[in-house]
Amino acid sequence: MAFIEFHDVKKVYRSGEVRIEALRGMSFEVERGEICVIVGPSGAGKTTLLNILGGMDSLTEGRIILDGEDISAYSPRKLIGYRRRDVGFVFQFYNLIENLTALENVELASQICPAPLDAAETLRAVGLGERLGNFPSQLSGGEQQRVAIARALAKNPKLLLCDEPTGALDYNTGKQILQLLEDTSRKSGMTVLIITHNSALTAMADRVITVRSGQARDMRLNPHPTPISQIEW
Amino acid sequence: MKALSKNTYREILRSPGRFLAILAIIVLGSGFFVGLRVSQKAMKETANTYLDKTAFYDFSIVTTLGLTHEDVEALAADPQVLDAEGSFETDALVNLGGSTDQVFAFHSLPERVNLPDLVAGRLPEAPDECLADSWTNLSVGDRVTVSGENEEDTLSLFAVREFTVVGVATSPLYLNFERGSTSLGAGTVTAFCYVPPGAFDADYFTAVYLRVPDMPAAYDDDYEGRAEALEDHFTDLANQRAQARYDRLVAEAEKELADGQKEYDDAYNEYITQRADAEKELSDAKAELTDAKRELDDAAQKIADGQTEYADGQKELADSEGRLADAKAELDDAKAQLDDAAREIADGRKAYDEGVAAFETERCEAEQELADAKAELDDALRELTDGEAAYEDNRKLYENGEARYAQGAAELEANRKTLEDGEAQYTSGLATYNAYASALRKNEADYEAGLQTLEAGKTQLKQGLNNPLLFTFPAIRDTYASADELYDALMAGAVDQATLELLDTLAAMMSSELTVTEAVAAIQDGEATLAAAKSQLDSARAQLNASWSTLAASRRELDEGWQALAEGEEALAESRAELDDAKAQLDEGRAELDAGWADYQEGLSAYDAARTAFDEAVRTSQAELDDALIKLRDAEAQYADGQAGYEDGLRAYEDGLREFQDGKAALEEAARELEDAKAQYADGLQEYEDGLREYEDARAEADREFADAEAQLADAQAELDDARAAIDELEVPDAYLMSRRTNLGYVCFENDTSIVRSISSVFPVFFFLVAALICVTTVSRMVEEQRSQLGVLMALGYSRMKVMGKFLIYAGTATVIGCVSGILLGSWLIPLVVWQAYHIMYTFSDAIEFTFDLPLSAVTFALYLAAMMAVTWLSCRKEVGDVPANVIRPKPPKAGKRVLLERVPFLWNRLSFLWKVTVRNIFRYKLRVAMMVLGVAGCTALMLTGMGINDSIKNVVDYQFTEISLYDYTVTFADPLTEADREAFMADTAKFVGDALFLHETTVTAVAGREEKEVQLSAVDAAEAENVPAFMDFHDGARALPFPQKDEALLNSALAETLGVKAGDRLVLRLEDGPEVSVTVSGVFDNYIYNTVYIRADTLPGTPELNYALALKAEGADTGEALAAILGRDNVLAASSSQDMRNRIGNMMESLIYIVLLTVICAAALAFVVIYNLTNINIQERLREIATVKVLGFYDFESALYVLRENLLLTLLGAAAGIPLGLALNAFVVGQIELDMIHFTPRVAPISYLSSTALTILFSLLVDLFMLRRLSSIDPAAALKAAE
Repeated sequence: MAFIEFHDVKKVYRSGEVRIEALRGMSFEVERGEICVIVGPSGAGKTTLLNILGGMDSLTEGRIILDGEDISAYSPRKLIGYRRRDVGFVFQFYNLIENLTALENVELASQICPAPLDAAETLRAVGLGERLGNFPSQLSGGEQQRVAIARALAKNPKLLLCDEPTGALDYNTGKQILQLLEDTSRKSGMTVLIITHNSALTAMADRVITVRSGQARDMRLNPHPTPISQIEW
Repeated sequence: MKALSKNTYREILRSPGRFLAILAIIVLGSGFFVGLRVSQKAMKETANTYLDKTAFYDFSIVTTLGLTHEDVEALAADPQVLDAEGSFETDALVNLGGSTDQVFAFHSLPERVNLPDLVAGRLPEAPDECLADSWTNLSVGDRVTVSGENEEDTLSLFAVREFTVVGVATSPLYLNFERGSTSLGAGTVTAFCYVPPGAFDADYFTAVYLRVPDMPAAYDDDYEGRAEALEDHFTDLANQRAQARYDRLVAEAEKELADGQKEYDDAYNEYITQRADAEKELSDAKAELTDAKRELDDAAQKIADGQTEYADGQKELADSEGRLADAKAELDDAKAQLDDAAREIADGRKAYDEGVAAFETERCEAEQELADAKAELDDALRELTDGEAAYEDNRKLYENGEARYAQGAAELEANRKTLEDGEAQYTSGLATYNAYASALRKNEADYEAGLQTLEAGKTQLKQGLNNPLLFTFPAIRDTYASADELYDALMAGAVDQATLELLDTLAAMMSSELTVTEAVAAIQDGEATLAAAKSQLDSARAQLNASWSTLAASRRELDEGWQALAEGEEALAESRAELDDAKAQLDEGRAELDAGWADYQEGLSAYDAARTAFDEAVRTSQAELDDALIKLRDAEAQYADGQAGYEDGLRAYEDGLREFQDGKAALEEAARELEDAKAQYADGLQEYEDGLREYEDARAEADREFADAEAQLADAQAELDDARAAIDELEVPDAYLMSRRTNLGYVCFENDTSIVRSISSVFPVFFFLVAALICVTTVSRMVEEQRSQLGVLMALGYSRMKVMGKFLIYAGTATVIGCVSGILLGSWLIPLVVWQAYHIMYTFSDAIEFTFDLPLSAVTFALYLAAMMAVTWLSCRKEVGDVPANVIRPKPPKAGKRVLLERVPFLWNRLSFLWKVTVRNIFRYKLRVAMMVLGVAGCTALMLTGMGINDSIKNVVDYQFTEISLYDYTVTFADPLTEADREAFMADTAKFVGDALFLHETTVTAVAGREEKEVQLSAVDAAEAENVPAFMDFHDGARALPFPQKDEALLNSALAETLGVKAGDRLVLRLEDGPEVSVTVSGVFDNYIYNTVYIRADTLPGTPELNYALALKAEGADTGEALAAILGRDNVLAASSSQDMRNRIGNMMESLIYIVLLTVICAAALAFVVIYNLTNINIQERLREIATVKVLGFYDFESALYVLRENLLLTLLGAAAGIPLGLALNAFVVGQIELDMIHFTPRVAPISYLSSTALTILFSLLVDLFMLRRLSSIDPAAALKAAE
């Protein structure tokens, strides 16, 4: 049994008469410890997929199994608990709380989950040992994204979900962030899902899923992923 | 519509909550301000309309003798009088059909002034019709009966005593519910009642009401000034009318008096003549009776003398009879004593003889017992001696046994030793035997081995010999047929050397070990050796067998020895047991013997004691017997003497008895003579008394007739004197001019409206401030949200003014709509609510007259609009002033900052993580903090003020009447009181009045520097000063103040403040009639009602008249009845009770509750608007942050708290700030409230602090609850959106 299983997942948004099918029967699998890159053009359903997998939205039809648990059957309250314990999020725009220091941003997440990693340690691990007391406005974009990753990792989640993690970063910084994600996955065996529209990144993945029009059109295993340092785009 | 205008319009529709918040606070603020301001005006207008309609009087004139039609006409003729009408008024008890009577104030129905306002029915026309008070529940058709309980004076005022209600009305004389107090019934008037003038039987008016032309409106500031200016003129008029009234009355009375005097004189003369005739007849009869009386008295004297003699004789006789009886009694006693003595002597003799006999018997018995005891003791001694001997024998036997036992034990021990030695020998023998036996077995084995070796050698040899080769050799073959033969030959040595050598050679050739020779030799040696060993073995075995039998024999002997030893030990143990038994028996015997000896010794000593006691007893008894014998003989001698004496006495007694009987006979004769004389006297006396009774009857009748006549004459004289005195006493009546100020309802109404005014002067300030702040925050937020849009507009080429116009129009629209609707709503709703409250007390109009104050509204509108425009401009000035390129870019989010509190690690580190976040967020937006705190503080302050007004007014009355004014009534007297008057007052009202303090009271002008003020002056006699504390408790704070000495004064705090004096300052009192008195202020006392200066009476010149009293209610008396009783006294001009004052204030409180409610509702509205608006903005601004927190897995409640914690903290802060603010406001508002002579001190009860804070927190929580739903609906997926 795979770590993540999507079985014919459908998601329909309704607003009045209009009916939008964001996912129309998506099925795929991801194994534990893999780096999985999901690529596809805008509007293909990548974000919907992420929302549903991240416990932020419900699905209309189908089943999602994560580590043997059927999360598609969870109540809204159980979904909050699921977000609290099992998922780490990395956003395109970092979403740090402006009014909290780097350390406090990480603590905000670690304080509510049952088995967190030490917040300061985690920040040191992402290379921000010197910037613990700085507010987000005092950090560069790359540093802010590191704080965001540290915030996701400090929860010690089963799964790391990254939504265009390099979307707001320049080329070099973006590479460093991807390096950090790759190292994290390789070192700690964490399952990492990266959503991007940059198909150059597929080279670093163990598994590449191509999404188009709400369906997984192609799923390809990459027996020899290229280290990120050797990828150019 | 232009696109830009559309944008503005849509903006309003898009965020209705925000727009409505601004609108609401403006509606609240402007509505409140205008509404409250207008309310007082509307109330006064309503009252003025009513007073106009009912032709309310401006002045009234009252004299102590009433007024007549002539007076009314004269007054009406005055040019300053518009209209004048006389009115007759009286209080009377009425019966409405129930069991108890009520007091009604009856008024003659007016036609021109103070017209009643009909509520139902019609005006009365016939004398038996009336108009009832709308305050009562009387209705048309009901009947009102003047009660028979009324005093005759009152009843005589009514020509008609039964009325039918034909209409119900209100009266301008009674604006509020108060109907005044009275000297009748329960002391309170319950209603007024208008009847036609014809219903009264009175030829005068009690008052004349005047209206003055061209007076300003009621309650207008000008009215008072104009009225004061007219007062002198009308006072003169009043005095003229009083003089005229007096002149008419005196003239009428003088004429009547003259007629009366003449009638009296005629009657007096007739009386004198008739009385002289009667007196003469009576004196003749009296002389006759006196003579008869003298004769009778002589006869009586004689009878009395005889009576005395007879009594003396009788007394002597009785004496001698007494003496004889005494002697007889003595003789009988002596005889009886003698007989007793003889009996006693005989008894004594008998007792003595019995005693001797008993003594002898007892002595013999005792001696016998002693002898028996002695014998028993001797037997016991013998038995004990025998026992000792037997014990000694047994002991010897036991010791012998012990010796034998020891001997046996020693023998046994020796036997055991021997046996053990034998065992040791046996054991070593056995060991030796075993060693030999094993050696033998070894030798036998060696022998067997040797034997086998030998046999093997033999076999080898035989095999060797059996070799066929051998028999190839002829030497051998020829000699020996077979190998066996060869072998036997070899053994036997019968083989020749040659053969032997052959054989050896062969053997060597065959590689044999031994030569045949050697083999043969070896075999032969072996056989020899084995034979020798065999013989040795056999002998050794024989020896071993012999030693085994020896060992077995000694074993048997040893076993027998052991057996014998065991038996010996058993025997010894038995003898041990026997010996132990014997020992135990011996010890037992010893113990018994010792016990026996002890018993014996005890017995012996007991015997000796008994012996001694016996001897003592014998001696005592013998002595007693001897004494008894001597006494017996003495008694016999005395008895003989007594017998001789008795016989002499008996003879003397018999002689005396004979003499007594002779005297008795003579006395009885004298008694008979005396009885005859008495009978004659009694007859004479009876005749005399009959005569006397006849005379006295005649005398009494004459006297009665005289007295009657005199009484009639005296009454007539008294009437004449009274009439004279009345005329003499008739003074020019006092005339009083009264203005509207003396009408309770009129004055109360004005005072009550002042509360509304005072509230209107502070509350709106808050709303104004808060409205401005809400506008600032809202517009700032809008500018922030639409920054890029502004940039776009500017980039498109719209002018700055146009761009800014959007916000100005937004805020302007809210202000215009809010102000217009607020002013209209406030002008209508607030007077309505206020009137709803006041209508409880003022029933004259059901609806308030709505007034619209245009200048006030315009100013309010302009003020709000200007303020809102200004703050809007200030809020967006910065953005709009910037270059479009900057504006079009999103503004970076407000950076996080460390707050000051973080520099205090002591506090900061104690906060939980989430509270740290809250604190930082609070300090992130300082303007909002200020606004929130101000809004919440305003909410708390408003409520505290509302409740504080309630507390201040309620408490002041309680405080005044429980801690300062301890008296229950004040009484004003018409005339100065004498000592007798005071005593009479106290005696007559004892049922109602517990104690009273009489004092002089007057009005003086107090002068201190340039300040002057008319005050009440109370002067107390020096002697009474110590009683003052029971009536007035003077204190300054907690410090009690003593009553002032001569030339000192105490005055109340409000007065001291007005005059600007304090303790120790000088104060001049200008008396009404001119003189000035200078005093030192000895103290300033706390007082809330009335301004009064207290001094000692001797401070004033002359002797001040006592005309005033403070009284305490008697235990259990009813307040109303007591007041009626006091008012009912002739000399009492006025009286009031503290209870009435308290009730009046209490009723005012009822309307205050509405005011408090109003402030609470306002405060709630304020809190809702402020907290809602701020929280709303806060949430919108932090939408992404909240969504992120949700993504991180915060539960709904946790993420709500993440935001709402700030509200809670700020609410607490605001409530705390609101308390001092509320106290200040309360002080201000209470200071504004003016009531007739009452000074309020701001007070706030603890419960008010508590409830205002609690309500504030409650309001805040309600908003939070509402916001909780909004926060729950935020979608976590919003976190994924791009930054705005």
